[in-house]
Amino acid sequence: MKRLDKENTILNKINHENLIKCYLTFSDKENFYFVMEYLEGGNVKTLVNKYRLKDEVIKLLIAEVLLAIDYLHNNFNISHNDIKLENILITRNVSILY
Amino acid sequence: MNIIDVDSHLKFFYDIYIIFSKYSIFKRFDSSKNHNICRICEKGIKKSDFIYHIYFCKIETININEFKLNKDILYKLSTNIENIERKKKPFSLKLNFGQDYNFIENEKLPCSLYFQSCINNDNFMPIDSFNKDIIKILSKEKLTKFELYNKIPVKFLSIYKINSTLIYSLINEPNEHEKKKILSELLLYFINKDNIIKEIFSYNKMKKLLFDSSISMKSTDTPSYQNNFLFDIKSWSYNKIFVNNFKNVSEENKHVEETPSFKAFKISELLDKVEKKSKSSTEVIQNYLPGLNQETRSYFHKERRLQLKTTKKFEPKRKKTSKKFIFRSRDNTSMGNTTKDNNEDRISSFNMDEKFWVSINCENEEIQEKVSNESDEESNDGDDELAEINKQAKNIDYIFASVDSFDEVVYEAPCKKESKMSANYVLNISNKIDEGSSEKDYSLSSAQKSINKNMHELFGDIRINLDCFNSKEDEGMITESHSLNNLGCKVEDEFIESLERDSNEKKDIKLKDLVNEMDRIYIREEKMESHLENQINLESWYNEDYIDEFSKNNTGLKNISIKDFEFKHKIGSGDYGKVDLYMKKSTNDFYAIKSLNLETMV
Repeated sequence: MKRLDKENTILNKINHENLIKCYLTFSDKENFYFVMEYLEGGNVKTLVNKYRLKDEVIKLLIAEVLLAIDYLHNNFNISHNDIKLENILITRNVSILY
Repeated sequence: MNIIDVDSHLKFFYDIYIIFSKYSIFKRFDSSKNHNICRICEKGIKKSDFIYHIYFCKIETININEFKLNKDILYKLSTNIENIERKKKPFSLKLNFGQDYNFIENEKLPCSLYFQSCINNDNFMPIDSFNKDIIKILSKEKLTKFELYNKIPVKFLSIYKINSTLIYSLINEPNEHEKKKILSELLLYFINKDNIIKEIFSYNKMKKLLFDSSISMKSTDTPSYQNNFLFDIKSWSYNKIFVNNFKNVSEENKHVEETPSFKAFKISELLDKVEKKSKSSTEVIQNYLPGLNQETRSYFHKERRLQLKTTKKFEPKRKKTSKKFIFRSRDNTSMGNTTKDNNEDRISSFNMDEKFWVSINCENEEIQEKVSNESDEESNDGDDELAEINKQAKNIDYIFASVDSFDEVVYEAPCKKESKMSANYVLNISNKIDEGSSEKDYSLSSAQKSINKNMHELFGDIRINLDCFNSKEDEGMITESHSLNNLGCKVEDEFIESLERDSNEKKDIKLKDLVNEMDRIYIREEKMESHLENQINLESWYNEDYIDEFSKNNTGLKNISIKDFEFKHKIGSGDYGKVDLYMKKSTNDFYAIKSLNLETMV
């Protein structure tokens, strides 16, 4: 439960373009819910499997991930520890990428 | 022909950006959505920052309606554009920026802004007399605004300037053959002036803009991605590519026959195809799938499935036939003809630019063939689309799926380990210790090592005590072993027996201590569980930035439950719980909801 509390507090404070937004949370007797932004673009992993990305796009993605990490490090002293392609999501503007 | 440079675009937008920042337009926007823009406006601008923010999707949603509020700024902006035209001449401004297009109150605007304002403005009426005539003709048919844009006027807004009479006759003529002739004449006219490429491309671009925006206006009131500068920049850069490709092909004279009449005839046919395509909604949607909203996409898929179900029963499966394809690379070199067998490899090796270009452009014959063949392949696959969608949905993971991992760093370990511990664990350990004491070969050091392993796995508090305990004994054992080595072999057995007796006595004492400690921990654990059960009813919270999105229908933030949401499909699952896609019933917005079982968490 401490985890949930801490996750609540962290997600409440996060406000960055490159990080997923959490709008609200609520709980039942059984479950605890986080209502979050839905990104239609999907993973980067699926995108990489389908298309061959250009260097520019890869740089773009990496830069955005770095911005997000920088934000977390500076403001919350959090280490993500699980950065991988599956955890990088894309917004609706996927058509620009490929 | 003026070839458009990306750098010149950047210069232009940099100038616009400075104007915006001076007049602080951006402060009108939500700080959450345009966070970086506000930040830069506060700090001051560097050119590198600005370019970065263009390339890196930072400037995304800017409503044109908000620009209308500041007409003075728009006027100054337009004057600045004119100055740029006169001084620098970065690129051909006739097409992309409206020198000749008049805004409602004679305010000059860039063309892209103009069109976007047309979309958002209900009172839009073009001022030029010729356009009025067109609209009069079309208004007799009682077309909707979207159909009106989709049919004619946008196509000719850019063309009519050059030869208006031909187009006027084209609209009034009922015969289709004569229409084609007139079109071919028009196109010839443009080809001779090297303007046709730009015209067609601008037409496609505007059509796409209008089409997408009309859909987005119907479905949601939120600003869509079409109303951004980035889209324009990207499309212009693709325009450059297209121009280069066409130029080189016309120079080489290899892959396209260059007689103007043939070319004009070909393009007229293609235009007809485009018009046909615009009538059937599914094909158009297919071309613009990646940019659409979820509702339209799902609607399209449903419709498609129905079609497949109906068609599959009657039509046999199509056999794969070898067809020729011509691909043009971005480096202006022809890729040559390929058969369909190699087609898949080709597509995978495409650059992204070309892929995007394909998705926009319907007018090239080759690309049409390719798109149609792709669609045929998809239709051959049949009902596997559902499976593909489900696969994609399964692959989607949530960024915060990794919360568990970083919790290990943030939180202290004993909290987690105590929560795992239960009465069964304690009983097992005590049994193991008893069994160990009954065994004959059971030496003290090995027994304590095994105990240490168990304890080390289970909890850290006792481990510290045991370590202290071990360290003393180990020292004792070491000294004794040294003494054993010094003595003879006969004496060893006696010493060992004596040691074992001592160790058994010691062990009994230690076991009693251990059991006492276990009981203490067990009691402590029960207390913790009772404490945690009291904590389960956490207070829900909400972000103050997004209150408006949830308080539209005054459902009350504190009374929200899952019953307010409709379950759509599963996105992902893991140790952390599961993430599902839900639609909110009142607003029809989609949200990803992560649900965690409290029992498993505890």
